[in-house]
Amino acid sequence: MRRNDEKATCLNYNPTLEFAESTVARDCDILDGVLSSVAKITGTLAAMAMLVLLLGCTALPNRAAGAPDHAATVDALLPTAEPAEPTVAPTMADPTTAPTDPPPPPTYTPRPPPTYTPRPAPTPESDGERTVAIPFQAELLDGSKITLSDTFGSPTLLAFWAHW
Amino acid sequence: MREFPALEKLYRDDLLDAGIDIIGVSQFNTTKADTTSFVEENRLTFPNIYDPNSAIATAYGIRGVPSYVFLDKHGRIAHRSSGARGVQLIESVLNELAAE
Repeated sequence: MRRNDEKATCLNYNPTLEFAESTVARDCDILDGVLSSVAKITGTLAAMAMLVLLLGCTALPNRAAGAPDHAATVDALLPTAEPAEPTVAPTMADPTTAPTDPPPPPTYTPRPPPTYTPRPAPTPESDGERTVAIPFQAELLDGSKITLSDTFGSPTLLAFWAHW
Repeated sequence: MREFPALEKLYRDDLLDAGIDIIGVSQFNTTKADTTSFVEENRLTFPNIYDPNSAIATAYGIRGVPSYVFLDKHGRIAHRSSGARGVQLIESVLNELAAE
């Protein structure tokens, strides 16, 4: 209506200009629709992102809430070393002695003199089992004869010697 | 033969009365004169054999002097000894054999 009035009052009415204005107005309407659609899509995406974040936070392990602890499960499955027995370190000091007491003076114990054990006399070479002596017959320096059988009845020593 | 004077003393003082005999056997190409001279010089009273060919020593496996072969009452070889080891050893072995 207003335009019609303006048309009416405007002496320099240009129909081409009117067409351009109408085109611009139509383009603005289209742009408004596009922008509103973009806004709707953006809002939807933001809502979905928030939902994903919330779901992710709730899926994290929560030990305090009794959630399954995978690390504890792995530890339970791994072989564990046997607990070592507690070792007691040897103590050099008398436990009844107060730590402030001076150490007792070293006592000198004389070393016993070495005992001398005489070496046993060498034993003669023994054959173990006795064998019969080899018979012999020989001449003594005085010209008489002697045989092995003459030695029977008493122990006899055959002494082999040389004059040098 | 440094042991022979002591051996002679042992024989004269102890072994003879105990009925233990010693028979000396000269060795290694010793002539009869050398043997006689050695016996007289050391005043050996136990009998000595002149063995010019070392037949007895060879039969008993003697390889050096002095060497000793101990015979028991039955004519068996009880002990052997080689080298100078003192008359105490000889005396102890002979006394053991006499006590059997």
